[in-house]
Amino acid sequence: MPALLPTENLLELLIAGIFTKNFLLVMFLGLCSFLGLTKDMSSSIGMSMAVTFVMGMASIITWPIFHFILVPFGLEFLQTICFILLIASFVQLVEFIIRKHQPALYRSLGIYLPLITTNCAVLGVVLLNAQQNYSYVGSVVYGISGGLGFGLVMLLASGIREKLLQRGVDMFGGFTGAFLVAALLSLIFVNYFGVIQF
Amino acid sequence: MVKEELKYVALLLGIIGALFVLILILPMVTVTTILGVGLVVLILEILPFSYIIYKEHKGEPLVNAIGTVARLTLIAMVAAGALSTTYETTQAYMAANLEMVLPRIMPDAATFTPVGGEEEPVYYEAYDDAGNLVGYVFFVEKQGSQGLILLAGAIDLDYNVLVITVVRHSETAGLGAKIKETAFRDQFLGLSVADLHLSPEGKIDAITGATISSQAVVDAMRTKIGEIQTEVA
Amino acid sequence: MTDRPSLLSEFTKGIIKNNPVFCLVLGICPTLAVTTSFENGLGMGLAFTFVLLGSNLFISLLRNQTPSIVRLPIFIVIIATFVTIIDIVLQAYLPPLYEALGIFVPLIVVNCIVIGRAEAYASKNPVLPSITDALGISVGYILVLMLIGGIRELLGTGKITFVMLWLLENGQIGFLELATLHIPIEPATVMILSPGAFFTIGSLMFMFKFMGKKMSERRG
Repeated sequence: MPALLPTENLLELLIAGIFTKNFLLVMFLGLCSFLGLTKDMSSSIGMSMAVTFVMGMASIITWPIFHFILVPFGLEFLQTICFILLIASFVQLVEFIIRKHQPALYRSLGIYLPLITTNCAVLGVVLLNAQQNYSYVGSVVYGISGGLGFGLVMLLASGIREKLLQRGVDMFGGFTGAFLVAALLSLIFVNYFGVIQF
Repeated sequence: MVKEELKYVALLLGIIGALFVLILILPMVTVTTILGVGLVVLILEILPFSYIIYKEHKGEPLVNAIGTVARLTLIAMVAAGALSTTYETTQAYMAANLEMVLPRIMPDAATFTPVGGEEEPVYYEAYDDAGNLVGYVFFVEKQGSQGLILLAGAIDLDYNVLVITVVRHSETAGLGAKIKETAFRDQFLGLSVADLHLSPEGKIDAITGATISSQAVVDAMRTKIGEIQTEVA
Repeated sequence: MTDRPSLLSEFTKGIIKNNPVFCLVLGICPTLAVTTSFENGLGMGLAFTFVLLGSNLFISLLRNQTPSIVRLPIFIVIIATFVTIIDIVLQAYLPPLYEALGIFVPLIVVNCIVIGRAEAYASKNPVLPSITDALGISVGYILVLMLIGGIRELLGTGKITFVMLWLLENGQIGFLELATLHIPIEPATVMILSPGAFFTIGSLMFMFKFMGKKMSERRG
């Protein structure tokens, strides 16, 4: 019976997801959205919320499939194809539901949903959950904290880029500027938060 | 409206069922292939469920939807079939090339030297980068409840267990197959030959409902480590 | 079909004009994550090539049998199949590379380049141009991966080892070391870590854009 309740330190998972193993800056997952959507604050907020939601939900959905179907029947090699199909169908379903029932929410969040299927942070977190063999609660906590870490960096970077663009530093509008902002932020994340140890 | 959807679902299940019968009667199909194909087909069908029914094929003749679903199903079957075949081929290759697994059992060690044995070495000496002997790595095979269990393990110079992994087995899913899980395997870490018995004599708790599989693993480890001890001495 | 000049231009456009990393700015995640050395960059590039070739071939073959409403699920299944094949093949035949690349092999499935080429090119064109397009894009991608991997290895460890995939003496496929180049500087470990990756690609992209601008000015 795979562990449902956490066998790992949840605080450690939370800190790892947000700071020490930040998805964007340390693990290099989800950079396409980072480059495309950090030009202005509002779209980066929308994307971060959508990503956090999908990462949490993806962990909730894929864990039982992996531990109750794939592992017992020796089908672990099918994990990639199953996970990506589950994520894609889930995103499609959510998009459909909120477009029909929550038009206001759809206008602010829904437009980012199709982008999420190909966001490697989502597939990355479920693959890591499976690889690290986290418990059910642990997987969900890791998924959500990964999303929060993603959001934190999106906000920081879009704030910096927006301010610099307003001041007329044109260079930061392009991809080169986005990479330089990422480099400086990741120096902080790697060197400063790198000292956190459990 | 609802009736239309039900008709669609029934047809969908019919198609999947018919295709399944088809692959079941094909020779040379393994259980893994059948399960894998079934799973991928089912998961893939979730997509058209949410998408086609409600949006695209509303009000169209049913035959259009059937064509779409049949194509999807066929592609998923071919894909999963190809994957299972590749997987089984590589598993066979890996089993034939066990030595390639050595660095993954003991990542700290740099080189491995086979010792003893006529056809297969009894164990491998593991050396680190500086050329110091750091432990012994071994493979051991033992009859479980359903078939042969192949274990790989590593011990330190005092013959205490460092690593134990299940390379392959065919024990019952949900029972004996739990020998693969960390909860069972972690019990072995740090133990010496004297403790390698099922409790109460030793320190290993058997998996509930899978005493034979647990016993096989414990016996295989104890015998093999004992064998290495005599061989080294 | 056998229009040679156009096929050649299909091939070369992927290397410079449509370079997946510097021009299309796609597939950035693995470009940064696995390029800690020349060897890993090459390995990732070859795995990527296999997936892109296979998926472009099959998507192009099936393009008339793909109902447009279920286009994406079918693309995903085809791409994921090739990704899984290369994943299990690497695990069996090249375990060291498999360990080094980690989850970034399965993550090729969400690499925007692959799905982008499927959607924009292979689903609309015959087989031969689709394969040529895949080859061009792959060569462009491998070159970038080797370049970034080489720079980071050189500055981060003070040496660079050039390798190629070859049949080794023991009969197995593996990386054959061609040459090792040492430079007399103090290695900067930060280049191996993530800030170095961002610095490298940022600077390279700046140079690429700058040179492109200069060249078009000269021409125009």
